[in-house]
Amino acid sequence: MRKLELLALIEISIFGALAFLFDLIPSIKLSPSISISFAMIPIFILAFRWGFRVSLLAGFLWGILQIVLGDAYILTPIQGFIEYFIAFAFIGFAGLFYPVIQENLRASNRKKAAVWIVIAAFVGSLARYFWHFVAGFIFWGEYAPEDMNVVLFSFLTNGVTMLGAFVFCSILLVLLINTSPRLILRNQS
Amino acid sequence: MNKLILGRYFPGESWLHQIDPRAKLVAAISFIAILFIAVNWQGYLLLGLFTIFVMRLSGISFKMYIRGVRPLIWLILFTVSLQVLFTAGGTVYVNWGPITISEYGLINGVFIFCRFVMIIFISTVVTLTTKPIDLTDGINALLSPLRLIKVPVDDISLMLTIALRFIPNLLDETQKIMDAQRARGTTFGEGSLVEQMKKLAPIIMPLFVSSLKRAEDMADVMEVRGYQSSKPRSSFRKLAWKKRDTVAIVTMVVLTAVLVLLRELGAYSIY
Repeated sequence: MRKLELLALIEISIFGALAFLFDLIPSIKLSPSISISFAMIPIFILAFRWGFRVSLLAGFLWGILQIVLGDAYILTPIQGFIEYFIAFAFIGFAGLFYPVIQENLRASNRKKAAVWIVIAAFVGSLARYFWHFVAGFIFWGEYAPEDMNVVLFSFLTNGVTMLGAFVFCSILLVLLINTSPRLILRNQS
Repeated sequence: MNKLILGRYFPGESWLHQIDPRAKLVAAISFIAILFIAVNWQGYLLLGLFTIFVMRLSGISFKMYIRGVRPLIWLILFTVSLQVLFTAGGTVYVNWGPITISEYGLINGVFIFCRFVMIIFISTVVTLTTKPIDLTDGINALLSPLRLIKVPVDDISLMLTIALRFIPNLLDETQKIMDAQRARGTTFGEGSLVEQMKKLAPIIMPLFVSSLKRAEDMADVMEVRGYQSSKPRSSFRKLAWKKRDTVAIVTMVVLTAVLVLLRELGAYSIY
C-alpha cells in the first residue's frame, strides 16, 4: 500500500480528534434523551478534501480514540468490535464522491456540489449506521426475548438516529462549504 | 462542557498501573470472552470475586467505577427487564397476559445484569489504570499482525499519538470560541432546531480553519526535521515485558480453566 502523504496523515489525526470532541459538545437536543450529533462532519470534510482512503482512516481513528479515552460503550465483544473498529471507519465511504465534489467546486458549480455533498453524507451515514444496525441486531438477537422482532427494533432505533445525524450533518456541511469552499479545496502545489 | 474530563486515566502506583498495556489489553479482552463460559452461579460468583479483587488491586475508589456504568444503566436495565418479563421456565411467580415472571427469567436477568456490569468494570479498570498514550502503544502492538495484509499500522499509531497530543489544545480552543459566543449572548442547547444549528456554525468554522493551519505547520516542521514515513521508526517509549505481565496472563489462563471446570461440574445450570 502506498504511504500516506504526511499532510494527510496529520489532518486525519487532528480531524479525528475534532470528531471525538464534537461528540462531547452538547449537540442539538430533540428531547432530553434523544440528541443528534454533528460529530461526523470532520470526517466528511476529510472525505471531500482527500478521498476515500483518508476518510476511512479518519473514521477508524475516531473509533479507536473512543476506546483509548474510555468513551466506548462495550457490552459484548462482537458489538464492541463492530461498533468501534468497523462502523466509524465506514463513514469513509463518503469519500467515494471526492472526485465529483472537487470537480464541481473547482468549476464553481455550488448547487451541483451541494447536491453531491448531501448524497455523499447520506452514503457515509448509511454505511456507518448499517454496522450499528448489525451490532444492534446481533446484540438484541442475543438478549431480547425470542418473539421480539429484533431486526425491526434495531432498524428503527438506528434508522431514526441515522436520519437525524444525516440531515443535521448535511445542512451544516452545505452551509460551511458554501461559505468557505477552501475547507475542501486543497492548494494543488 | 466544563465538567468534561478527557480520558479516564487515574494516576497511581498500583500493581495494575504498572502492568504492560499489551498484557492488560489481552487480559481484559480474554476476560470479556470467558464471561460467556459461566453458566451457573458458581461461575458468576468466581468472576464477580475476581472483578472485585481486580478493582481493589487498582487502588481506585469504587465511585469511579460506578461512574462508568451510569451512561449505560438504562440500556442494561431495559435488557434485563426484557429477560425477566419474557423468559419462561421453572416456577412461575407472576403471570399477567404475555408477561410472565418465572424462576428462569429472574435468574437469567440477574446473570445478564452481572455480566454487563462486570464487562464495564473490567474495561473501566483498563482505562483508569493505563495512560491513553500507553494504551495506544498496546493497541499498536496488538494490531501489528495486520501489517501482513498491508494495513498501515505504524501510521495509525502515529496518528493516534498526534490526536491524543492535540485533544487538550482543541478542547481549549473550542471552549474559548464557545465562551466568546456566550459573551455575545448565545445560549447553547436551546431554541428551535434551526436556531440551534445556526449557533453551531460559528463554532465549527474557526475550529476547522485553525486545525487546517495547524496541520500544515506541523507537516512542514516534521518534513524539515527529516520525518519520512517510509523509514522504520524508533520509539521514545519502549514497552518491556516483565514478570508481572506474565503473572497477569497466567492468572487469566488459570481463571479460564477453573471456569471451564465449574461449568462441567456445575451443580445447578439453567440451560
